[in-house]
Amino acid sequence: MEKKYFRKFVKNLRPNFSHIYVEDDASSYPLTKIILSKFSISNIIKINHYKDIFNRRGQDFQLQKSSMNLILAKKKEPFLYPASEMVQEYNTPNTFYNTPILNCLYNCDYCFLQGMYDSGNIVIFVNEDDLMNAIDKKADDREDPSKPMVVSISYNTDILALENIIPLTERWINFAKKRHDVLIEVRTKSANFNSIKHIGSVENVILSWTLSPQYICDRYEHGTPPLKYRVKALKNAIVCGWTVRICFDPIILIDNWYELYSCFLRELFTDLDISKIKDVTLGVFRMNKDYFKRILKREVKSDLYYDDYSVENGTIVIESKQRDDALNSIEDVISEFIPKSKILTWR
Amino acid sequence: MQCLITALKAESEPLIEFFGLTKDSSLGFPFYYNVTKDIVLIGVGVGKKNIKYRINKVFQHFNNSSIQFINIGVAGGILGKVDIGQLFLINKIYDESSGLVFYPDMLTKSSLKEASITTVENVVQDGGDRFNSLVDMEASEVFFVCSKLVSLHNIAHMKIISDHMININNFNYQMISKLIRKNLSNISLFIEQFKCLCQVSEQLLLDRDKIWVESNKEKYLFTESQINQLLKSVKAFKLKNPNNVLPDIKYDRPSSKNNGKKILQKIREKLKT
Repeated sequence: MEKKYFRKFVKNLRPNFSHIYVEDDASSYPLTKIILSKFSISNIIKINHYKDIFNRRGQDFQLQKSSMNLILAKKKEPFLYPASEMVQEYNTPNTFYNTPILNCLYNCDYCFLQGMYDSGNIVIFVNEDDLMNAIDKKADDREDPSKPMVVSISYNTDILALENIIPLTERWINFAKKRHDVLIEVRTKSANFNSIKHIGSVENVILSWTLSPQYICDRYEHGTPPLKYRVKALKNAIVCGWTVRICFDPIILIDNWYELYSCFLRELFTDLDISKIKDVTLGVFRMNKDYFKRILKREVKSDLYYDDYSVENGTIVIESKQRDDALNSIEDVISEFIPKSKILTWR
Repeated sequence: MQCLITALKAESEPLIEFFGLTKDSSLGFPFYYNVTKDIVLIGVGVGKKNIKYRINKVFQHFNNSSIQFINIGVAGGILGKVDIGQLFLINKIYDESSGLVFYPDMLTKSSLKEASITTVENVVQDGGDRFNSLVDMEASEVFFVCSKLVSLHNIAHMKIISDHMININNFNYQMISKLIRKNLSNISLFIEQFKCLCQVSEQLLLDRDKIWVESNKEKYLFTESQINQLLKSVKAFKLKNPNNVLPDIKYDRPSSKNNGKKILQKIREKLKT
C-alpha cells in the first residue's frame, strides 16, 4: 500500500479498543470491571458467546489489526494444552501452555496467529482462577514429578505487552510465588518490564524476550518496540534479579542474514551480563501448513510467504539442509558467548 | 463501489438526488447509478421478502467482491430514549424471528451515535417496550444476505428514528424524506470514510499482471502446480516492486516437460533479481 494512501486509511479508522464486547458470563468478573474502567469512552456491546464475534465468517484479520477491539469472555475447558511441537524441547515432559488471551497487540508477519484465527480482535479470558486451578491440578499429578511443570502463558499472545490494559502478568507471577514446582514462562517483545518491576523477581518465572536485528523488527515485526527498548527492558530485568531467556526465534533468512544476525548477536552479547542469562532459544521461520495456507489465501503482503519451503510433518519450514546450515552458523556465533548446553534449538 | 440499500421510496429519493443517481431499468426493480461516484442504490421494499433476490442480482450485475453495502433507512425507537430524527450507526442486529445475532465490524472512524437494532416481521405499534434497541424490518436480512457475498467490514447500517412505535399511521412520505434530508451530510461523510475500507483490500496483482501470468501459462504450457510457483514469484516481485511492470519473457516454446521446468526456473530467477 502506498504510504500516502495508508495514512489516509489509518486516519479513517477508529483507534484500538473503540469497542469492547462483553460475554454475558464474563460481566461479573473483577477483571472485566478493571478493564472496563480503563476504557470509559469505548462502546460496550453485550454478547452471548465470544465466538459469536471472534469466529464470524468473512472477517479481515489484517484490517481488524489496524483497529483492534477487545472481547471479554469466560474460558471454558480445556484450560491447559500440551506444548506445541513448534517449540523447543525443555527437557521435561511436563510442558504446557495456556491461553489467558487470544491474539496479540503486535502484528508480526511470521506469526501463526493470523492463520489460526479469523479475527484480529483480542479475546481476554477473565476467569483466571479457572486457568490457575487447572495448573494446580496438573502439577499435582505431573508425568515426571522430579521435574517442574513448565507453562507458557504467552503462547497465543504477548501478555506483558497488554499489562497496562490488564494486569494479568502480575497475577500469574503471584500465582507462581505460591507454586514452586511450576515454572511460568512469559514470552514477550514488550519493553514493558516496568509494569511488573515492583513485584520483585520470582525464581520460577522466566521472562523470555524475543529479539531480532532492528532491520528485521522494522520489516517483519509491526507494532513492536524497537530492539534497543527490548534490550533495555531485558537488562533491567537482569539487574532486578529475574530469570531471563533470550529467544532468537524465528531467524529470518533474508539475503544477507548471516552478516545481519552475526553482527547483531555479537553486539548484543558483548553488552550483556551473560552469566545472568538462563538460556537462549533458536529457530527458523516455520508454521503449521494449514495456517500457512490460510494466510496465503488472504493474499498476505509479506514476502515471507512467497519463498520456497518444504513440508515436514504438516509444518511449512525452510528446507532441512539450509535450515541446519543456518542454525549451525548462528549457534557457532552464540557459542562464542554462551555454552552450547544453554542453546535450545528447534530443528 | 458502494451500494445503498433502502426500503422506502421516501428514503431513497433524497439519496438519489444528493448523490446524483440515474435510474437504470435493467434489473427490473428500483436501481439507480452514478458511474462517476461509483455509487448505486437499490430499493428493496418494506420487510425481508425482496432483499435476497435484489441484493444478489445487483451483486451479480457488477461482479465485484469488494462492493460495500450500506443499508440506510428509518427505524422505530423507544420514547424517552431516542429522539425523532436521530441518526444511528448499528453495531448489533438481532433477528427476532430466528434469534440470530449479527455484529457489523465497527472499523470506520465516525462520530455517529451507535445503537443495536431488532429486526421484526410485523409493524410494532404498542410502543415497543419489550425492545431494548431500535426496531426495523430489514436490517438482519440485509446483513445476512450481504455477509454471504462480501467481507463483514464492507457492510454497514445507518438508521434514523422515524417514530416511537405508537400511531405509526401518522408518518408519511414527506416526513420520512425530510428526516433523511436532515441527515444527508452525516450520511455522506460516513459513506466517504467507509470507502477507505474497500480500497485497502486491494489485491496484489493488477489485471495486467494476471494477463501476464495467463499468457506465460499458455505460451510455456505450464501445469497448475507450475503456475502456483510462478504466481508466488510474481507476488514476491510485486511486493518488492509495486510500481514495476513484470518483465518481458522471450524464450522458445518448450520442447519437453523438462525444458518447461527449466524455463519456469529461469523466469523465477529473473523475477527474483
